[in-house]
This record gives sequence, C-alpha cells and structure tokens, in this order.
Amino acid sequence: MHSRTVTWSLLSALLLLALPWLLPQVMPAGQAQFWIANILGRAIVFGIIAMSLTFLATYGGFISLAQMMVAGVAGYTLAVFAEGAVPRIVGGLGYGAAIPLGLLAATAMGLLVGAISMRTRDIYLLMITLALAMGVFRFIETNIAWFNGYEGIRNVVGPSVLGMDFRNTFVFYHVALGTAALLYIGIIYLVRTPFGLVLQGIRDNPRRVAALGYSVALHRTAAFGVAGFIAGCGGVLSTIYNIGISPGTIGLGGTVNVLIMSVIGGLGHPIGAFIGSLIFTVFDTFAATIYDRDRFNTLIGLVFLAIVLVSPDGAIGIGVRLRRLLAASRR
Amino acid sequence: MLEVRDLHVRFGQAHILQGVSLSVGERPVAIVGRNGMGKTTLCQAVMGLVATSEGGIAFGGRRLNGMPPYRIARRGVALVPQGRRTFPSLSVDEHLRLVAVPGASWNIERVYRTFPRLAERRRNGGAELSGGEQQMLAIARALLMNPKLVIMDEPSEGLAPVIVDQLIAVLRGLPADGMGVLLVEQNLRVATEVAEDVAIMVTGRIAAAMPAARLVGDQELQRRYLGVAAGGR
Repeated sequence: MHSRTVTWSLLSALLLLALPWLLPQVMPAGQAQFWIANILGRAIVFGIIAMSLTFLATYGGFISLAQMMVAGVAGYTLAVFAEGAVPRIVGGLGYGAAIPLGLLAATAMGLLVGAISMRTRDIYLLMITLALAMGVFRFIETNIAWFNGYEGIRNVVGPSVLGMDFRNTFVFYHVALGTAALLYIGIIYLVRTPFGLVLQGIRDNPRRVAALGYSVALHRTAAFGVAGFIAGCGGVLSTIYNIGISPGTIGLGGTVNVLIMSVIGGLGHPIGAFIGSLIFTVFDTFAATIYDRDRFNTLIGLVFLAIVLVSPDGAIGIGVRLRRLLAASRR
Repeated sequence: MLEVRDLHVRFGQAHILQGVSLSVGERPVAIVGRNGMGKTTLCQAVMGLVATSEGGIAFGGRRLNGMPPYRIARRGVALVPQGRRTFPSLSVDEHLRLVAVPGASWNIERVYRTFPRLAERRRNGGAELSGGEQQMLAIARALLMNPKLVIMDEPSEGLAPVIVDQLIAVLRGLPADGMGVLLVEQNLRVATEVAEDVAIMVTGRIAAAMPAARLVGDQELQRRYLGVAAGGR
C-alpha cells in the first residue's frame, strides 16, 4: 500500500472518530446529535451490510441479493435469544452470548447461500439469491411461534459494556465505526492472502483457477461465508440501532436498498459501500423535505439514475475521474 | 508417468479425439500436427477440463478420467494453456504467490532468477505484459506448482525468435528437476530441440511416433503430416 493512502486513511479515521465533538461546533447540539445517530450511525451500519455485497462483487464477481437476509438472520437470532426482548421467544442469553450466536448464524447462512448458488453466475446467481432472500423473508413473516410474524421482536436494547450503554448515541456511533473499520481492514488484508488471490482469479477465469489446483466451489462457498459474517455484524448493529427487528427490514425494499447503496458507491472497492450508504441515507432522510413527502422515492430514483449514468462505477468512479482530470490539467 | 489409452472426446456430433494412445515418461515428448487436429483438446482432457467419452488417462498408475481439474492439479499435473490465460487483474507477484509452495524446489526467488524480466515487472498486471512476458508468467505459474508433469500447449506461439530461444533453454532444463514434459507445438524447431521423441497428430489420432532426429531429417514426412515447405520454419 502506498504511504500516502495510509496517511489519508488514518486522517479520515481520526476525523470520523472526532466528529461527535466537531459537529456541535458548527451546528446546534440537537442537530449534531441527529446527524451522528440518524445519518452517520445509520450509514455506517448499512454500509457494513452493503460492504458484504461489495466484497463478493469486487473480488469474486458474485452479485448476491441475499446479503440483507443474511444480516436479518443475525438480527433475528439475536432478538430470539437475547434476554429482555419482547415478546420472549427463547431468551435467557446475555448479549455477550447472543451476539456471537447471531454472527455464527449469519456465517452459517452465508455458507448455505454460497453452497446452494455454487454453480450459478450472473443473472442466475442474482435470481437464486433473491429467491432465497424472499423465501426466508416470507417464512419469518408468517411464522408467529419463532419470529412473532409480521410484528417482529422489539426491545433489543443492546449491551452495556464497562458502563457504556449502547443506547448512548456516541457509544453506538463509535462501536459501529470501530466494527466497520476492523471489517474494512480485514477485507483489505484478506484479499492479499492466497485465499483472496484465488477469489480474484475466480472472477477473472474460474477454469484456470481449477487447473492451478484450487477448488472453485470451496473457495466460492467460503467467500459467501466471510460475506455472511460481515453482513451479520451489520445485522446485529442494525437490530440494536432499531431496538428490534421486523420482517419489513429484510423484505424486497431492504434487499434492493443494499444493492442501490453498493452500486451508487461503486463496486470497485469496499470503501464504495460506505460512500453509497452515506449518500443513500442523506437522501432517504431529507428527500421528504427537499422534494415531496409522498414522492421521496422518486428523488432517490433520480439520484441513483444520475450517478449510474454519469459514472457506471459509482461515486468512487467519479472521484477517480476527477483526480485524472486535475492531473491532466496540471500538466 | 502419463499413460493415455485409446482416448475419445466428443463435442456433440464432433468426434475430436478418435482413439489417442500416448505415454510420457522421464523423457520429454512433443506432439506436433496441423491446426484443428485435436492437440489442445488432448491437453484439456488430461487436465480434466473437457469430458472424455471413452478410453483411459492414467497418471502415476491412478485413473484421471472424471476427476475434477483441481484434484488432477494436486496429483502433480500442470498445464500451460494455449494463449497463456494469465489473470488480467492480478499482478505478476500475485500470480506467483497464488501458487507458490514455501520451501519447494521451484519457489518465487528461483522464478525471478530464471526470468529476470518478470522480476522487473512484478508490480504490473497480467494484462499489461507483452506476449513473451505473459508466456514466461504462465510457465512460471506452472513450475511453481512443482508438478511431476508439465503440459505446454503451444508455448512458442506469437513469440519473437530471441524469446523462443530463451523458452527452449528453460524447457530443456526441466527434466533435470525431475519434471516430465508433454509439449504441444506447431513450431517444429522448438518441438525437436526440446524433445527426443515426437508424436504426430492427425485428425484426432497419433498417426506416427518417431525420434525427433528422424523427423528433422525427413522433409517428405514433414510435408505429408505437417504441410511444411522445404526448409521448415
């Protein structure tokens, strides 16, 4: 990695860490809190889920529509087992046990999605992952005994670690930011290992990878498992953020939103997921006031269309092009 | 090492391999023949990349038919495919790290010593290399698997003459490492300088097998099987 990239990454990380103290300097305290919790916190949480899709798409060439569902599996596992959730379905577990259980369930679901979709690619992979997502969604929505059906499970308040309560906006923001940073660094590291290289080889030419002695099926499935774990982290955080989970979260709307975030951010690099989720969250939050309460989806659609038309590789692509223009004009 | 017995491969109606029998031992073997005779299909069949309909392929006494390519590769067969097939988005160094086995006879350092040009281009992507560099990379990638048998499909195709000489030198050194070599070539000079035994393939069969020296000396044979004008290539 270039040293300049490292410097820039460290600077942006510091800036993001300090934002809860910097924002109140430039806007009223209430508004600053709203930005930290409802815009940035939410963008980071959804960015993690979108990054699980970006990881698969960027390095393996697999577009999976099941990532929101996998995140939901983690969220539901947490809600079913965590003590204090309403209604009590199993309960009895502290967050220290329920959260790892949720992550485990999401990883297992990721592996399962990978194993089922092993022999498909392109549009067929898209359809089979969408079908799996909708199947799980309908199953959860109609199952009262295990998932409380349409109403979902409430009061998943999250843990309190060393006296720091997850309900505190700043604590949640920093936990989400830290999780996102660790997962991001983990991906950057993973893609340089032989496993990551095999994955990129599969994207370029699966037959060649097989002839080099690697099982394409095994590596594909493992990649879906890794993506499942990442999506699970996002699912746990989003469930705590929303103080519960309902089937609507993992329905068609949620599934498509994650795809939109990944695409407008750009599928060329994992950071695109976070850029996309930030753009999406800002418009999702303010569209009703900017445009029209009943037609805010139109505005999001137009923004999506504009970005994809201007730059097929999303917001990162715009950045790359701007930098090239600047460099060219300087010459 | 490699025993191919009466091998047939069909693509739908097309009968590509019509009973190929061939064996490769310690000494390098070259297969020559015109375009469309089934040479590439034979390479792919041994590697498990195409399905065989009849006949047997055995490697080290073990039947390979029906085995997935990655298992065949792990048993010690490496293929340098026609057209190189490097990964466009991986750098030279990443290509090598993908297959390198630490502590093996062929390792990344030895590759960079043998192919200094690759060391200079280690940060470049697979799509940014010249044809000769891509060929070196494809060969290096195969050698790093430390195979017992390396199959090369038209390695000299599209290379400048000076690069071809380098290629011949590398290939001649492989038996000293205990590697078996099956070389498929249209370039008669490469085939006969690397291998002592030459098999000629015509419409999906091995039409003749002979010492390389005999094919080099017999222009009538060359004209009949290869359609090469007097003087050769």
